Amino acid sequence: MQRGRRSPCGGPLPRRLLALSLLVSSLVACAGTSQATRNRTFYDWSLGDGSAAFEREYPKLDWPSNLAHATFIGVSVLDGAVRFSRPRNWRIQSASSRPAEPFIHYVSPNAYSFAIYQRRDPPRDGWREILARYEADVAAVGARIVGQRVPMATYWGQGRAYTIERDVEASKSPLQSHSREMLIRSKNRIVLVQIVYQEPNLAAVDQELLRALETMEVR
Amino acid sequence: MSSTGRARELRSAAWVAGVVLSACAGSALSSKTEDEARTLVPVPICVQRLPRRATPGSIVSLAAREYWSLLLPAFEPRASTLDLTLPDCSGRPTLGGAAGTLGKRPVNPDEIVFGSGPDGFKVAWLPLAAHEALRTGLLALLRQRQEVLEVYALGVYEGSVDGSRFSLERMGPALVVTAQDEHCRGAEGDRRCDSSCTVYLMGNGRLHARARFPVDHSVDARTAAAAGSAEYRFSASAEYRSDGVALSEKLSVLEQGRGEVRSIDLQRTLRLEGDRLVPSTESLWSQTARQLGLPETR
Repeated sequence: MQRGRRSPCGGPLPRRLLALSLLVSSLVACAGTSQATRNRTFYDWSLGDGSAAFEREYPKLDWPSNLAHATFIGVSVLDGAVRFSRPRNWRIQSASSRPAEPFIHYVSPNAYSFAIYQRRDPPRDGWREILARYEADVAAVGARIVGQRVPMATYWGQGRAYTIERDVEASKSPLQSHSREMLIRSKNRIVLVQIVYQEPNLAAVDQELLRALETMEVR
Repeated sequence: MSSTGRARELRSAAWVAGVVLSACAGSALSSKTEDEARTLVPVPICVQRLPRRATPGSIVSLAAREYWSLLLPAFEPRASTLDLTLPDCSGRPTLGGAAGTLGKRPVNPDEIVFGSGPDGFKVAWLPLAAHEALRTGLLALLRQRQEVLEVYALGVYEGSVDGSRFSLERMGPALVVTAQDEHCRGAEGDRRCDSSCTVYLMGNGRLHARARFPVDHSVDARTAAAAGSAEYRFSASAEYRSDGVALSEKLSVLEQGRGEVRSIDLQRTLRLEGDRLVPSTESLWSQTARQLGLPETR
């Protein structure tokens, strides 16, 4: 009791303070992440010099390897988490090193975009949880799943493929985007590979996309 | 408070903090960033940073020569020339490579013909300089954003600088570029115009000319060395639908002193089949021109 009365400057207070500070610091840490996640300008890079910060060369995947100016260049993205061989003519549209959710987004002169996003899913979760979260995300933004859960694999990683449609507001009637989206997992992470296009299908660019996916290593 | 009680208090606080921290760090909730890319349609084939920043709430007004530089990086502003052997902004051969063997060509950088569409879309035609009335040049579908110019498709168009007009139509969810080339003769009451429309479909970042139909034509058989003795006037209007283009055509035959002695109406379609526009039947004007023995129009 005596110690209790001394509490404003006695022993129990530092402990309470310590306990309180644990709680506060955990909440602050959480709030900080959330703030950073929302602060796109802080993390995003687009159109300027600086692609080296988001994409590094990985010459082992250059193809054809005997040409100085290979058609496909090997790259390492998401801080080394993903490697693949991409057409040389893609341009980086935007990229982010945002904690837990880095991404890189390319556009092709053949009018499609190709993006890789790291997902926040815990890598040990089962497919059921991972797919359910993704499907809920798709529904939450008003997009439609028109094909789902098709098993697929890349060079290093196994996945499930989806076909998504989404209406985009426009003055006369909505424009429609189509996307082929693949959740690909390794032991350490889950990534979403997304190809957005406006054509009825991707037949005209099959070959270049096939190589990008065939060579993809999710580490 | 006993030492056991204090320890319990500390343990429970640490447990709460742990739960909060783990919920935070391990949160599987996505920020759904991937949806932004889904809304980026049409997908740009090149994105060019504007030469200067706009003040907040305004948009940069680009000069004609700046479009040349943004769409065709091989444009040399000082010399007003364009090196056709170098690629366009998408990295593909300029003018589809067809003109690549011509090397450097002079251009008039103030010459650009624009057509506007909804949602900020623009169609731009950049004709190469030439002595002929018919000019060839780059056709582009683009949209200017706050800091960048997005280019969605590039193609080639040939026409006259004064008589060409461009617009953007919708065929269901698809964007369609139309180019109308008009040539007029005569003055005031006797003014007669011939025009035709080319329909471009978008495919893999290219504008493909997929159909061409007559819009206005007029011929006086008595003065055109044609078989007949009347004036033939043709006009057509187009309605763009999700399955193609519905065309309403009208041909009037006029005789001097008697006015219209005959008229024919025809409803036909250009049906969208894959990436083609297939006509349901031949145009009234094509049939008439053949019967009158007129040379084939462009």
